[in-house]
Order: sequence, then C-alpha cells, then structure tokens
Amino acid sequence: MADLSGRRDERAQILLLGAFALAALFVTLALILNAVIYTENLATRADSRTSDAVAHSKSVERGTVDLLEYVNEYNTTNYSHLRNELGTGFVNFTEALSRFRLTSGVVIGGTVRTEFEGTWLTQTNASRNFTNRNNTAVSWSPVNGSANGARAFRMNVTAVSASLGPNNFSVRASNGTHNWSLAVGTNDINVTDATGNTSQCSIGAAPVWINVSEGRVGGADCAPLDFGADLDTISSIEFHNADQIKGSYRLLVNNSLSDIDDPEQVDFALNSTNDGPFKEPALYGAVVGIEYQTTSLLYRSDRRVVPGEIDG
Amino acid sequence: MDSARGQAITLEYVLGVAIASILIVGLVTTGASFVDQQGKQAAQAELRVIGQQLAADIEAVDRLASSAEKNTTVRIERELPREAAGGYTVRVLERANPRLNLSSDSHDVSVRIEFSNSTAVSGTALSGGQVLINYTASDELRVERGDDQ
Repeated sequence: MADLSGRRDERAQILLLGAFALAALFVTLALILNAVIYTENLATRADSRTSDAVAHSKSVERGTVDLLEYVNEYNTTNYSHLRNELGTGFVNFTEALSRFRLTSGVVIGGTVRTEFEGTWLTQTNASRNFTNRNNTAVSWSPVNGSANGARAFRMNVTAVSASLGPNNFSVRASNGTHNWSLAVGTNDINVTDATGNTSQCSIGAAPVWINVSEGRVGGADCAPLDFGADLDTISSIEFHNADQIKGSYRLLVNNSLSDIDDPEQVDFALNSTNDGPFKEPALYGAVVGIEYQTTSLLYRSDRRVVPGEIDG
Repeated sequence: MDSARGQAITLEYVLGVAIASILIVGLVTTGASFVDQQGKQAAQAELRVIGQQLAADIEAVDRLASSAEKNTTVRIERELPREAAGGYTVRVLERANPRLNLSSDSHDVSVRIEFSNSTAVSGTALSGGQVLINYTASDELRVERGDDQ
C-alpha cells in the first residue's frame, strides 16, 4: 500500500483489522463445534436403566415361584401357616436382594399383596383306583365348576385295565364351554384338545409317571400333552371310568378348601391319609408388589405370580 | 522514471485501500455467513440429541408401563441442558401419533422427533433443566417440569 505519511510501521491497518475479525469468527466457530461435540457425547452414553428394573422384577417373580413351590410342599397345615411362610420367605429374599443392589445405588422394596388360596387334591395309595373316597362313583368330579384354574397335575399309574376305547379311564377338564380330555389306555394315551383334535403318545408298561401339566410320559416328552391347553381357565375336572386305573395322583386347584363342596367327605378326606383321595390347603399363586428406585428411575408395580404361568 | 508515469501517489493509495477493503469485507462476510450456518446446524444437532434423549426416556417409561400389570407407577427424571442452541423450548404434540417439537429461541431452527409408544402422552412446554416423565394409574404418560424449575 502506498505510504502517504512516510511512516512505514503504520502500513496495512485494514488487513490487520480484517485478520482480527476473521480470527474472532473462527473462535466463535470453535465454540459452536465444541457445544455440538458435548451434545453428541451425551447421545452416545449407555443407558441400561429400564432393563435393570425389568430384570429385577423378573428375579422377584422367579423367587416367588420357588417360594410358592417350597411352602406348598412342606407343612401345609392351614392357610395362615402357608401365608406366614410365604411372607417370611419373601421378606428374607427381598432383604438379601436389597443388600446386593444397594452396592450399585439401587433401592428396592417389595411386599406380598394377596395370596390365592388353593387346594391340593391327592391320592397317595398307589394300589387304589381313582374312584372317590367312598368308592361309590366311577365317574365323578374332583373339581365341580367352582375353580378358576388347576396346575401341577401328575399321576403315577401302577395299573391300567382297559385299552383305548369306550371303557378306558379319562380325565376331562372344562372351562364351562369347551373341554380338554386325556384318555389313558394300556399302551397309549389319547389327548383331545379344546378344538376337538386328537393326538396320541405311547406309554410304557406300568408303573409309569404321567406328568399332565409338564407334558411328559415316563420321563419322555409328549408334545400333545398340555393340561387344559387352549382353555382360558379350568373350572371343572371330571374322572370317568375311574375303576379302570390304579395309582397315585396329585393336582393343585385354584379353589379354597372351603369352596370345594364336600361336607360329608364323600369325595375327599380332610386329612392326609394313605387310603383314598384327600385334600390339603395350598397357595395357588400370589400377587407381589415390586419397587425399584435409582436416582433417576422409580418403578412400582404389582405382579401376579403363579408357578407354571411364566417361562424360565 | 518512465515506469511511474500516469500514476499519482494518491491514486495508488485509493486503489490499494479499495482492493484491500473489498478483499477483507468479502472474507468477513463469507466467514460470518459460514459461522451463522454452522451455528444453525449446531443448534439443530443439539436439539436433535436433546429430543432423542427425551424420546428415549418416554419410550422407556412406555415399555416399563406396558410390561407391568397393575397399580403401576413409573417415573424417570432427566436433566436436560438449559443453554443448548441458545435457549430452546420443547413441546409435546398430543395426538394419536405423538411427537416432540423442539425450537431454538435464538436461531430460526426447529426439530421434530417421532417416537413409538402404546400409552397416551401429554405434556407441558419445557425449556431444559429437570424433566419428569410420569406414568401413574391414570394410564397416561405425562412429560412435565421437575421441582428445580
């Protein structure tokens, strides 16, 4: 640039000003990009908060399933005893879980809200047939329409006297409208589902275990065998030709002991006996309250827990 | 000095200043518009990230609420930046297929974030800070301000 003043150290002032303005622009740009990097960084942070809450509620469910199976096997004297056992067990394992979770800053809580009173229907005498307690009916109803579900049905068959046909022993479960039935012959079992389709599985020589709820015969899988499949609930169970089979059996019904109408003990005895069928109190299931809390998440929910209703 | 014929010192000076000014003004103008454009893009990126975080929380509460059975309460707290994008406002558009609308207070920029959910969503206008996403017995998911606002 021309030098009008003759002072060489004052040249190029416009260029200097321009360079300063551009430098300020680039600093602004750097600040803007920095803010973007910060938010992009926020976006890539791992977030596993909800999966932990779901995992926790699943583990409480699993624990409650195991507790229910435990209390139903030991010392099933009356409902209040069963409730106490379940409540104590639940508190114990919730406390253990709580200590474990506290180390990662999670507070958990839980309570048993309700228990569903159920009844074990059992026959332990393996050489007796499947008739009622007084041995007066070969076709009778162990559960007569007032139940709201049944599970854990298994039989140890020691003798079968009729092959599949009109005279064989059969179990019929019903929801009031549709039926599911299982016929037991000398060589095969026949399963008829709620839509009327029939399928067969072969059984070995007696004695043989038939686990109706888990679909196993003599320890082997029998795919069609699925107690009450396609029925929304099981309200009644009938035995037909009960004199054609011998063995022991056990099933758990979602029906309180007092709701099974049998005051004269015609069908079931009220105390454990090795003679005929008897009934005992049990807990069919429960509703548990679950609480899971971290600094940013609070999750509370009630869950219905019935063994056999949830998967692994 | 034949090479300097027809040239006055003043003319040379004026021409020099003019050329330098044009160059500098051009550079600064271009740079300013570039920075402004980057600023808008940055604001958009920030709003998108904030919106997606909020949408992820809403979806998380929705998932927990749908996996539960009854008497369910789910609450997630989220601390959103207050000054991002030169200040911003988040609105929940309540409709059958709800979405979030985030608009910057200082740039002419807005972002729409969609999310999938199975429970109804409602909410108030927010401008960063603590945000609560609540699901209670009313079977509705509410996006609202936290206590510190």
